[in-house]
Amino acid sequence: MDQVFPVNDYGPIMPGLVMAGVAIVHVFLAQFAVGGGVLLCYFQWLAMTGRDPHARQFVSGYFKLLVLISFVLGALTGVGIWLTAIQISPATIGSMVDHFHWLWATEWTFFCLEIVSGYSFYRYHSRLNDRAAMTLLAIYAAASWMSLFIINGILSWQLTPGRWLETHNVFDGFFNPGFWPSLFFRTIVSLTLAALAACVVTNMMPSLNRGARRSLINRAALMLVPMVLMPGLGIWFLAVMPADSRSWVLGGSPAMMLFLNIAIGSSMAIGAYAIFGMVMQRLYINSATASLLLMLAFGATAGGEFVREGSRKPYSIRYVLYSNAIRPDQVARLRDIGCTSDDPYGLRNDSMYPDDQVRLGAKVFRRQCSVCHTVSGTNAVTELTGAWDQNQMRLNFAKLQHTKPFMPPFAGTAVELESLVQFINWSSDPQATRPHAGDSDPGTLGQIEAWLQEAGTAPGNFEQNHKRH
Amino acid sequence: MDNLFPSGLPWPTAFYLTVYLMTFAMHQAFMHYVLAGSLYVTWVTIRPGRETVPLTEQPLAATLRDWMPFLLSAAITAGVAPLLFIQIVYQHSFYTANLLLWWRWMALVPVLIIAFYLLYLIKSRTLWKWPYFVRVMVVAGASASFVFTGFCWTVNHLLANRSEAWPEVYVTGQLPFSSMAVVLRMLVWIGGSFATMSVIAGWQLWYRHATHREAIEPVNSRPLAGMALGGLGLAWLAGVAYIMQADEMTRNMVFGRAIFAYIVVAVIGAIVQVVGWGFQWRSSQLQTTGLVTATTGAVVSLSGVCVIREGIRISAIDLTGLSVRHSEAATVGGFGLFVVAAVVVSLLIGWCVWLVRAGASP
Repeated sequence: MDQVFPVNDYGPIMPGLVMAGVAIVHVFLAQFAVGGGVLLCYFQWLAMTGRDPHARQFVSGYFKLLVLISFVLGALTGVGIWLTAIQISPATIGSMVDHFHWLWATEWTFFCLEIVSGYSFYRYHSRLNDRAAMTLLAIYAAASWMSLFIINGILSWQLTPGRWLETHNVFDGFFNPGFWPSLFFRTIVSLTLAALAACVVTNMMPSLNRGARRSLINRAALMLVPMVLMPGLGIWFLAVMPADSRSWVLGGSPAMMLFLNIAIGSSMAIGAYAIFGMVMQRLYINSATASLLLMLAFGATAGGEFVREGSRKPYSIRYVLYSNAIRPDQVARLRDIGCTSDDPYGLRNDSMYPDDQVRLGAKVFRRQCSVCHTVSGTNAVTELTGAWDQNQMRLNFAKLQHTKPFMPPFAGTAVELESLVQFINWSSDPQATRPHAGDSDPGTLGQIEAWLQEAGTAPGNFEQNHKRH
Repeated sequence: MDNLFPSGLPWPTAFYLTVYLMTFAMHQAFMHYVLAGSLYVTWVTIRPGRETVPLTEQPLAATLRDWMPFLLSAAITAGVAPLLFIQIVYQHSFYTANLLLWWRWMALVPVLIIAFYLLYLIKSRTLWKWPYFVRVMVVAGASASFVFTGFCWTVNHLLANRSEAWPEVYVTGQLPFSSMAVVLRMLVWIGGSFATMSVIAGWQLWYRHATHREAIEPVNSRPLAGMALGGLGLAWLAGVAYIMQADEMTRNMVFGRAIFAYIVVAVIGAIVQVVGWGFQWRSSQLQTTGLVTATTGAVVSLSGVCVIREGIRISAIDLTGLSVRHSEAATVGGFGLFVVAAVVVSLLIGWCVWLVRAGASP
């Protein structure tokens, strides 16, 4: 028997947004740490070779920031992302852990190395010779990049599992079609974030005059040059995406297209300023401009991560698990037995519902809809269905995967579907009199059953529908 | 479970449980240092008259303040591994406990972030120029945060073991166990943390003296020994009280063939620690022999207590159902890569330590 987990209600915030919030902050900080390691190696080399007299001072100041931000916030938001993932979709994180736990354990060994090498440098660099300091920094940089290398394989697997679907071989899943473009892209993002943070840090060092700051900023700007590869890598990533996911981000879903445009627009603004201003004309940027660029980079990260998460719809793991934690092979069974029959959890505010039909609808909503929708907050079902009459709702829910191809098929009985319709109706206007309180009209149920049969239990066939058009 | 843990279990279950316990014990050692360290620093900060004592005359407090941020980092990093393996071993019950505790559980992350920054503040010189009241708030805030973290994990553990109560907990939000059970388990943890912290801090102080023999006065080992012995006593008293008030199933497991041997192990570890710290008490100075003895005892005790803690959980969970999942998990590839990475990373960590020792500028 499949296990059902209790579901928490986040009020007007859809749970996916909670996950996105934690994930974006963590990805931003973690990528800053990865790029920071490479950047520090470069500046340590500048210091060792006498190419920049202020590089040594910069390394010391920058590493303090890295420790205070990345080692604290980065590490704990990393734990936070795990705990949040459990809150939002335990089945998804459980499946990822089941399939990739040894890769995650491997990543953990690199975390350990990151901490030891990083703290060794932080604590002792002032008394170490240049060679030892450089070695520690290189180990730190390599360890942090290796953690990116590993987590990138697990995350990209969620969208493009590739040959893993046939072989279930862990390395087929890891080196999936999205692995390389995603890895190169994230590496460049990491360098970009580190370089922009370097511009902020340089401006915060009161002992440096403007000439020294300009020199350090111009050198850090070199780390922004790889941004010229971003458009090509982005196109590569789009090319390996499943066709339906690609269509969402390229216009099929306005929200996702908007976020993609935010990511592209922000990246282009940073890239153009960096290449034409900071690298070609060797412009000096003050702390306000540097902070603004860093905020733009945060916006780009947020947009990119939103698109990465959203483009997996209707799945949280492509072909393995729908966003609502129901597996494709479970749908047919849940159509027979119902999605609430094995749910042992009652409703938290049971007495506020007018009758058992609405209560059942609330449980159906909780099981199938609540991970991506709220009742009346963000992405609210009452708003999305506001213009539909009851029959339209019944039809659209019964054929959900055809109504909206980024939605999973309805996985419940006709009675449950009708109760969901009544729950949404009641939620839209709790004061209204319910015409058939608690009753299910046999004719209505028969019609729903027929629609469910027509819809089938398979996900929406995007390619077939495109051919038809 | 009739055989000695973990031999009576199917091998995948035994394997994942063992890996989980080994990484958990490592995490505990670091966490103990931070918990007991922050409580000690709080005590020496609030104790009347102590606030004016120069730092050089408080070597233990100074060492703890200096090292706690790193040890917290180590604890969090080391904690990632048991957090990973607990998801393999007890996925459903662990996830459900997380979900039922909800915001009470999720509060752990921001609380730890605050505590981390407080530790950096405690380490800095700036804090000690601020008024007494602010200093007390900062050190007490850090300590309270770590106690809260322990509280969250304790409650999570207890709730994970009570599957029959989950639907009721979901609806009402009421936890299905007495506050006495929580308090006693936390006292075991807090008491034990002083014993572990004393060992690690003891070695730090010993090393500091050994490498700066001319410049630094030998450290009086009695406060450290007193803390270790007091902590051990508290942990054992609370542990006995917890077992006495526990249900019959728990007691049967703890005193059954699978786990009882580990009680013996934990007792032996405690006795060895008492001998080691007794030696330190008599000599008044930190000696290698005493520290080696206490360390051996601490490692043995910590290992034994971790297994006993797990035995209590196993008594409440259907392992037969779980073992199917463990067998499936064991078929997943990547273990070889992990072993290679663990060896390479261990060597590189050794190299980092060597670089720090050998790479000092002339």
